Amino acid sequence: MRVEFKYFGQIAERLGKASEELNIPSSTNNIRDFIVDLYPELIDASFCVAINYHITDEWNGEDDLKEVALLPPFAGG
Amino acid sequence: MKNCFKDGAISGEFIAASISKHQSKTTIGAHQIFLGQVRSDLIDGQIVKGIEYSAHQEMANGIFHDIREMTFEKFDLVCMHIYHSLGYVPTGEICLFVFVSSSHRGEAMKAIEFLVEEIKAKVPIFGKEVLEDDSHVWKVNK
Repeated sequence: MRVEFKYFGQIAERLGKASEELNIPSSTNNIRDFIVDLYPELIDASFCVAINYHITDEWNGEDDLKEVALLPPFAGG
Repeated sequence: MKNCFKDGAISGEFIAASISKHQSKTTIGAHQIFLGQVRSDLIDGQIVKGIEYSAHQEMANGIFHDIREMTFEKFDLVCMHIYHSLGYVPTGEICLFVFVSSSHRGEAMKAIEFLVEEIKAKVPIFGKEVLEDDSHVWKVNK
């Protein structure tokens, strides 16, 4: 299925883009593995994965996958 | 969903106006305010001249909402406001304004620390520390 991926901070800087649409096979469970396979330069990057605004690497394959965000370490305040 | 973000630095005038707006809320006996200011850290021999803030705004506003609700449940507060900068904030200027009010001082004092720690840990806000030569390093909260 086609899903919007959003990139922030140093992840967006490293990939050279803020977002894109990617095709995720419906058999995919671990979104982190999926994205690191696609972009091996992220293997040593520090980030968390947010699926539909919820921080987790795992997708159960059933919920509607509206958005995946790669969030580098937070720096608010 | 409330938008907690403001473009650029948060001014002293805005902070003063926020305080003034609470004069009519006469059940309030105490305010506690936290101001996060951009500090001129020394990184690799260069001074930080400002921070460029970005965020996953929709997700962040949802998390700000959840943190507010949790704080209202945990502490007996009358009012709470949270504002965070987006975009460039020069050193010495304010990037975070947290304002809680309660009838008695104890609740406001406890709530402010809880709130600031939750914000720094959980809100997807990112900061590019801009150095004197316009290079940058990415800020990470400790």
